[in-house]
Amino acid sequence: MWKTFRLLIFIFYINILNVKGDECGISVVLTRHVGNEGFHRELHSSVEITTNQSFFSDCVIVQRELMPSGLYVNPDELADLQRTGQVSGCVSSEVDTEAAKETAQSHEVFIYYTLKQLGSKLTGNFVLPFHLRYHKPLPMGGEEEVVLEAPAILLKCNPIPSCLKSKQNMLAPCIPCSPEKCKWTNISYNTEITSIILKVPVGSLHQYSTVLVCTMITTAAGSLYIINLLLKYHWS
Amino acid sequence: MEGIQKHLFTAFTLRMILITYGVFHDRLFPVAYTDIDYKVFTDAARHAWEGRSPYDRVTYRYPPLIAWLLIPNLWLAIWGKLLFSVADVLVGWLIYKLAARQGCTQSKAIFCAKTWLYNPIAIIISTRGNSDALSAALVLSSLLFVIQNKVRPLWAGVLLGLAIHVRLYPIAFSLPMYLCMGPRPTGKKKQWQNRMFAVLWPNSSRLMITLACVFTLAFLTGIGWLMYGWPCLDESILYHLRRRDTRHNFSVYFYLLYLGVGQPLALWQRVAMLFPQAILLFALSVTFGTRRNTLPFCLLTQAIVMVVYNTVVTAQYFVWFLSLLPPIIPFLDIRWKEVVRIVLVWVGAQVTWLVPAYLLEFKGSNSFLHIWFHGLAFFCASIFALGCLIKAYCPPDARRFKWE
Repeated sequence: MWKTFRLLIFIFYINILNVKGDECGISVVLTRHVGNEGFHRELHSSVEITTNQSFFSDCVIVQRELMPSGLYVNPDELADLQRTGQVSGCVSSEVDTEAAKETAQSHEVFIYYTLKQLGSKLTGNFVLPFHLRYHKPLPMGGEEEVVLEAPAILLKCNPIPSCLKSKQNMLAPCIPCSPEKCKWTNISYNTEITSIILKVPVGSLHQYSTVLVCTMITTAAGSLYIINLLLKYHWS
Repeated sequence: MEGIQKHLFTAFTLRMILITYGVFHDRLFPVAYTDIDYKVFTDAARHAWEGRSPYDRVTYRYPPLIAWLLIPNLWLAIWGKLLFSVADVLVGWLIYKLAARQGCTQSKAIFCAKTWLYNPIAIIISTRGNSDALSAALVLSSLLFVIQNKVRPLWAGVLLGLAIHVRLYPIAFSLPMYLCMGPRPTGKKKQWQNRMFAVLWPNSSRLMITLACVFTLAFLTGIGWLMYGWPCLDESILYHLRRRDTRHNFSVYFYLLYLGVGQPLALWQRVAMLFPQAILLFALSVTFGTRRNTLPFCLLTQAIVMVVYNTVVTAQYFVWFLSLLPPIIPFLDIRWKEVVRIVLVWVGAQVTWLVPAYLLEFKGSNSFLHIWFHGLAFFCASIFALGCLIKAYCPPDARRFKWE
């Protein structure tokens, strides 16, 4: 059973490589991991391209991340990072930064970067801050999971190499947030982790009645205490 | 006057220095000095200037007036900060006038003003581009028109209406403002029916302040509604009434509201949430709001109650009462030791709240129950501080506030 499974994986792997072989003979490896803990996280992403072609150093890459409703990229924060030249990118739609997961929408983020020559490889990377949303409480509390799926990596070169010409199949903004759309080539890649799983602590509904009673008693007692002081010090 | 002018000038210079610093800070550091809302103001002003609705900018939750006032931001980015700083320094001057009016010596009145003018919280808030100093200045000037020697109900009403238009919370001040415009006390013992009647009877001053306030508020809101339609009312007024931010904050109701997400509150729960606050605001109005000499203290205690019982409480809300506190300081019969104790308890409660809040927000540990518990503790600390103020308060001489 296990052997068959491994064999299947092996065949699958070979197939991916074959597909990549078609695209100007390049091999792309994507590495992503998430930094920080809690509600404020950072997505560290780097891409490494091995190729024998020279034109790739003039290419621009767009990484399209689909942010699920359980987390968000703050467009204002991204604009600040753009202003200070740290990340170049754009959020595709309006983002409600205050909403909980249940009322929020998923959104796409486009991150633009160029490639640097590093020995025989071309590399590019970025760090993108994002935030987890509050999730509705569960009967026994604990944690909820948010899954950040694998991104799409799009490539645009100027001039367009002939081997990519027929493969320009994706429309995306030419530069961050521009209304003008360009054709990009969606390139396949290899990665160790396809989806990143994040944990969000949630409240426990089990505690609801205790919290309700204690909160109401405390606020009522505070009110009575002050009224008592008013009567004692300013009405007698 | 000589003395206060010097401090007003120094305070304004200090704010100018920080505004200049902010310009450089924002260029050099990833975390901006400028408040996020300031960018929202500027975007809203741009929309207004180009003939669109300022509410096209998401998260703009202020009246159109703010967007109009900040249109010069499009050419001079620090314009709004200058405006807020002028309002901030004006608050200092109003505190000086209010303290002097209540019978303080000049040096005491200057001391009161200094506690605001050199208060780091006040300085940072206005120079980061936060509009709170504007509403504080409106509330204090309205208060001054009521308690000054020659009462000006028209101006007091207009300014109160403006203050409510800019920020909703001063609406609670309208009851004591109305009550303290009451008939002069005759000294004769009346039957309780007659007294009740006199307490509420709309004499000319009361009519004037009510009409001026309602007309100003209706006029400004009406213009906003005519120009920008429903989003204007929804974002600048209704949003603040229904706001239920379920993310952790100082509010005593935070965890309760978070656990109740998705299930509508039962009627008795809503009553139980509103009643303690409403009864307190009313009790404070009838205790301190019926006479002009205790009116400043009434507004201070009401502002504290509104913050403490709010469904969302962040440090920014403390400005609601921080500007009302200085003119009261000379009328608190309290020892320094006691002051230190109150401050330690109140600040201490905030610091201990920060520990579980930090663990949840930055470490991802499930500390909801601890945050709730510390929220209760902070509520108790605030009520304790309010109680100490009420115990220590000695009203200024009522003879200074005789009707002319």
